[in-house]
Amino acid sequence: MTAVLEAHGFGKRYRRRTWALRGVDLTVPDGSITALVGPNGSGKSTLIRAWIGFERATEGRLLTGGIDPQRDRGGAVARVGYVPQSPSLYRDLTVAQHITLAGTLRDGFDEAMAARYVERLSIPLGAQAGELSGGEGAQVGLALALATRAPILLLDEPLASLDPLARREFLHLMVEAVRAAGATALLSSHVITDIEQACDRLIVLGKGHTLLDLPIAEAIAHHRIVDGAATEAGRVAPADAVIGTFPAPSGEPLSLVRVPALLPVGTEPIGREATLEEIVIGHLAAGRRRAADKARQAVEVAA
Amino acid sequence: MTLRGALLSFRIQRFESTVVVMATLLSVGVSAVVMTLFYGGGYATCFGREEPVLTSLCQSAAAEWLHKIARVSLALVPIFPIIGGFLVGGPIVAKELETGTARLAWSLGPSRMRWFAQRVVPVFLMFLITCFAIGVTADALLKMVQPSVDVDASFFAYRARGILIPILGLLVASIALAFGALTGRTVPTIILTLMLFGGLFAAVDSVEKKVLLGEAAVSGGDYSYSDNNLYLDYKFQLPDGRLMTYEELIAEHPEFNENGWDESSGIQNVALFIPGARYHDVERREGLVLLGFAAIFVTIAAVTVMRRRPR
Repeated sequence: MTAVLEAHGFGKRYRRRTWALRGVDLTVPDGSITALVGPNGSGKSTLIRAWIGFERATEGRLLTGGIDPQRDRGGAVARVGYVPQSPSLYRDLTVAQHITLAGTLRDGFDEAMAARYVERLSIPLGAQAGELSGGEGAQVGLALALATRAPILLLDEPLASLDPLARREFLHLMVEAVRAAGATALLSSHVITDIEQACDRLIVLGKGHTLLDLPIAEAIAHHRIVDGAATEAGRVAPADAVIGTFPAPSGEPLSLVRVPALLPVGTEPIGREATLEEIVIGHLAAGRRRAADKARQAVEVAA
Repeated sequence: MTLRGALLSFRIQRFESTVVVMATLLSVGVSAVVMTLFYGGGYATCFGREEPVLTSLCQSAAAEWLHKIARVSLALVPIFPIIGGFLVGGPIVAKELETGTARLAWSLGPSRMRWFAQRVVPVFLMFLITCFAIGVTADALLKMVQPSVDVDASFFAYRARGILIPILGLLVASIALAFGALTGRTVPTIILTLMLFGGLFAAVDSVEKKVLLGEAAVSGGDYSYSDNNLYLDYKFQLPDGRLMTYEELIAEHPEFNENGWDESSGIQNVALFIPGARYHDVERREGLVLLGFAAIFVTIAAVTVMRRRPR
């Protein structure tokens, strides 16, 4: 497995105070479509922006397609197609002019491909960017990123402003293009159902740290849900296997438990199968609890 | 940089480009019409004489209005490079950072220098051409308003005509470009540019005056005055040829403080000036210094663009 995106002890601190991320170690394998999930402020955007050279590491190191974006930003950008959270198109330019502009800025930009993608999404090439909806803007951004023919696609919460149909079209186009090109994509999103459809790997970031980094199939195979709080879960599973407790939509407590992928013959699996959303929520709850414990310990030490 | 890229740069700065080009076309167009009517109508014979010409042609409202429009146009020329410079230079990087489009452009293009050149060169070139047209028009208007002035050998309307107009415009645009890149905000860019341009211009003027004083000619005590010369200072010349300010003179001859001095003392008031014949020399030298500053600010902008993170 070759890694195309790597973080080694990566940390980013803003204005010498708040650490947005610290001690992040993770890799995104070549050819995967990886979901990057985490609550607001967990550092997803910072990490993605750092891989494209828009942020400098305070500590640690990143590699984008084998290139350190801090030392060779141009080289890193040349390997990446980037779709930011908000589309950031030029209001006074038409969609066709955006495609032309991209062609003037990047060697090898496939203008015909960008135009095909845009037309496939039923967005008129002559439309002014200022007149496009948020969803259409995001789709134009995706078409531009795909037409760079970059081997790595970084998508920073592009689905946030999209309606369900636009989200579906966006993901369909992205998955199809990435698979056809044999590229690698990293998709940051809050919408777990979308991730389940589009991605094959999951990274959960919480409070500036990596909480989970696994292929989605493996994540599902390794987690179960037990009804009740951690104490109840501790009765049916080893105490250190209980990851976190969180409320079900009905308010009842649920516990996420780590289990071996394969059990000895005749062993009944505990609890029930966890959904991807429950796995993410369980790890986020665990991350929050660990951060609170750490803060409490720091206060006690200081006292 | 391609033609397509240049055209898109104008498109991105459509408002600013349109305002600058339209203002230039209006100014040049109106001036051309005024000059055509003025020279075609024979009004040129009415001006530039010691005595007023009292013919019906010269006393007509048309003569007065054509002359007035030309004088007002000439008076407005120095404003053009400053306002145009803010408009053209300020938003190039600042607006892109403000609206987030820099993020798109910088993620599409591996070379930010290419983006910078593509955005800056066409717009600056357009602005230089418009400023040059305004400068040339100002020269022509001056010839019309002051027929006795040789525009190539006169400091009349210095810095308000000729080649200094595009250079001043380029300087203002470069300062605005640099502040735009540093602050990433359009409004602070305009304020800071105004302040720095004012300070820098005053500093250049002060240094230049000191340099020119070392090269200045000294007029006799006949108080003859010519519009063509650039007057720098007025001093007292002692019989031994030394030049002094009033304070220096009083320090040496305190008795003059009470009663003034006697004509027979040989002390006379003199003016220090640069003769009009040196106009192009001085203009060229100042132009080169201002161009140097403009190059520094463009470099600051380019380095900032290379290093900064988009919002």
